[in-house]
Amino acid sequence: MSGRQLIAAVAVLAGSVAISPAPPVPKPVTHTVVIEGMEFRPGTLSIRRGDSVRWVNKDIVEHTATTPQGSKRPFDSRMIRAGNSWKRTFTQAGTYDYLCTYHPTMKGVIRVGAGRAG
Amino acid sequence: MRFSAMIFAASLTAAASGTHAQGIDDAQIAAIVVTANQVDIDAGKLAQERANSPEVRKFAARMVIDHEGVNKQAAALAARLKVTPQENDTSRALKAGGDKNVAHLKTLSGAAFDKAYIDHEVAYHGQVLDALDRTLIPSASNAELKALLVKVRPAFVAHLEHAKQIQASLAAARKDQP
Repeated sequence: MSGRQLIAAVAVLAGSVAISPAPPVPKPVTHTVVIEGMEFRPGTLSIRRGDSVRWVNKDIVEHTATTPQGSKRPFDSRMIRAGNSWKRTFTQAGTYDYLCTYHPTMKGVIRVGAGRAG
Repeated sequence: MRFSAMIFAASLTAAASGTHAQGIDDAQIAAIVVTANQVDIDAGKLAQERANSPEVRKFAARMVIDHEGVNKQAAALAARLKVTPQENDTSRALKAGGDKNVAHLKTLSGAAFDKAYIDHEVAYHGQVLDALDRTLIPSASNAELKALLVKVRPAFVAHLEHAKQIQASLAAARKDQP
């Protein structure tokens, strides 16, 4: 093969590698946690970094979704009235334990994976 | 407290054991539910002011909010269904027991108050749950009333669990004292 042919072959190869598309980044998703029957449903939810979670209170009383005191990455919905909702976007990976501050036997977990959305 | 609990349980059993015509009806169920909530509201209002531990005061305040909220929904449903709550032996026994509890609590203070209040909350929520399961839910004729009772039940379970947690932590605190 001549030098020019070699350069051409390499260029074609490089081009063909460049053309094959990178895997698409999934769009951010809003997941739902329903608060009902004094429970967070689902109790454990796994999501991607960049996704959001919307807590919807379909219960008969007020609730919150709050990380325990001393949490490294805290969040606190404050009061979510019956019929209302609250949304949070999770930009950092990790496991988030949370509870209802009004009814502390109500507990939930959000697991945020390292894979990125958006 | 235990005596009034026995009266509550006995009157519910008597009400439920009759034939449908003699057994408990929706108007009586409505009165029992409203009274059951009001009893806990009354005790909670006293405890949120008088309790020694912040945890007990916070629990008491939540009892007031939650049970007032449930009563509001029960009253709205009764109005919509044009059901007038009908006082009966069971609702009267509940009220009497509640008044007796509040009168007793008023003689107490400090850790003794907290223990008596929480002990009563544990027993009381357990009794009401039993009444819901054995009598009130099975006896409710109207589907919406039955659905409301079923929807309310988990709140009583959560209150009971929380009260038991506080009961245990109060007991642990008492053991630590010299």
